Amino acid sequence: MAALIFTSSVVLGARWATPRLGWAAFALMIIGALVNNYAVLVQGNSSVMMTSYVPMPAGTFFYLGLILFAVGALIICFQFLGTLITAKSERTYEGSVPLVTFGGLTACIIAIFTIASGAIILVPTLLWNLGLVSNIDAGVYRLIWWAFGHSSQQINVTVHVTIWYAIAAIVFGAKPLSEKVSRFAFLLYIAVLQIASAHHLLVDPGLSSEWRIFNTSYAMYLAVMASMVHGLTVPGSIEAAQRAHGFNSGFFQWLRKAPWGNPVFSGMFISLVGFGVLGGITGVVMGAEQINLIVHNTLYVPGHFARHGGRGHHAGLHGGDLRWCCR
Amino acid sequence: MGAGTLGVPRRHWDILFSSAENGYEWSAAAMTMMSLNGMSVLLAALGGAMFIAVMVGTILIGRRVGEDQKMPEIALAEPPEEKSYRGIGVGGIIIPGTLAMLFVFFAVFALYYFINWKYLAETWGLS
Repeated sequence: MAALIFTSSVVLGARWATPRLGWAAFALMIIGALVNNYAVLVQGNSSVMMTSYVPMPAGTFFYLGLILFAVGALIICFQFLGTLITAKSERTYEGSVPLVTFGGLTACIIAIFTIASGAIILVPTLLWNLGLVSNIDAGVYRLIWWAFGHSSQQINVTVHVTIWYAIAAIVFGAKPLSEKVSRFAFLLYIAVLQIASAHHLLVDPGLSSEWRIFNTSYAMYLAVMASMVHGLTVPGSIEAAQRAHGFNSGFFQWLRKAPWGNPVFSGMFISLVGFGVLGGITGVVMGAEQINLIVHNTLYVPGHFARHGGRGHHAGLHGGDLRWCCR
Repeated sequence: MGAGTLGVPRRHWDILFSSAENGYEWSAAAMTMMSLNGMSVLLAALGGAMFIAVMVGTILIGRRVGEDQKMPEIALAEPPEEKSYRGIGVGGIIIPGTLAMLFVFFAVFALYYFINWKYLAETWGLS
């Protein structure tokens, strides 16, 4: 959500739409998180863990906290769109929005899809918890829940890739190798990343092998391709800029002479390698229905998302944080 | 990940089944990797704590921005001039270093994918 504010208001030099409502949304997110934590840690009646599959019951506050948080996040998404409209009408930029803002818009669209999916399944679950709905189908719950659960991760993916582009431009003065290709890769995220959420249902009963193989393998490979495009163009643009700055000798002088002592760059590069190489390769292995079975529900899975999420998102996003805050 | 490939489960409060009546003895390799994981987690947590300390410290006691400034000036690196892009690269390839890394990535990707299929094939024998 912070990245949405940065990629719109700060990058475009536009005023943030309805800032007071933004504080209210922020408060809703904090209250939602606290209410959810209260149910898990204090009440102790919500040991359903993150996936909270029905018919396993959790406390009412567990679902209520999630819904409050999501409403806050949704308000910020619409404020982001409002800020884009303000920037356009007040002409704070010319032509198309910059690539970094485009990445933010991609993340915003995925966030709205994510929150809508969450509302579709969590509101009925809250009503079920209150005894107002008699039954929720476990299979349908899992299908819709993962449209929410995995897509929430895709918001982070899109944002950290956006931050890569921002850092390449800010630290090196780099420009994308092909802006059209980069924008198309962002569009691929919107089109196929959500479908790839189905890999969480890889061994679920009630779904055909064809459905699982198509959604978890072929659709996912398009999303992987988009990530590979970003993984090529970001270091490629840095290399071109470094060479243009005079570090043009051999294959890797540009990389040796990169500012490794600057945590903004080194954090971003760790993110690139961790997300793109280690997280990406292991993700494809787990997404293939057959070889998934070697590692299904083993520690390999958290191993994958520690690489993917931990090294990718955190190193990238925190590199970005350091840039904005610690000067 | 290596411990997972050797079968150590997740989503279980006793992943090594150390207190189960019918326990299971994990291989020494799996235990070694779990131990390495434990040490790495401590380092990662330390890094995370240091990051939080730096960020919170910056907000509380860091250098202040100007009176009318809402955020510090972001120093943008000077973009290279258009003409300095001419003639860069090796042998006509503009970004040979990135391409070399890309080919290494593809090779690792293919090898890792093959190894996993090979491993799957070895989980049961065909006679």
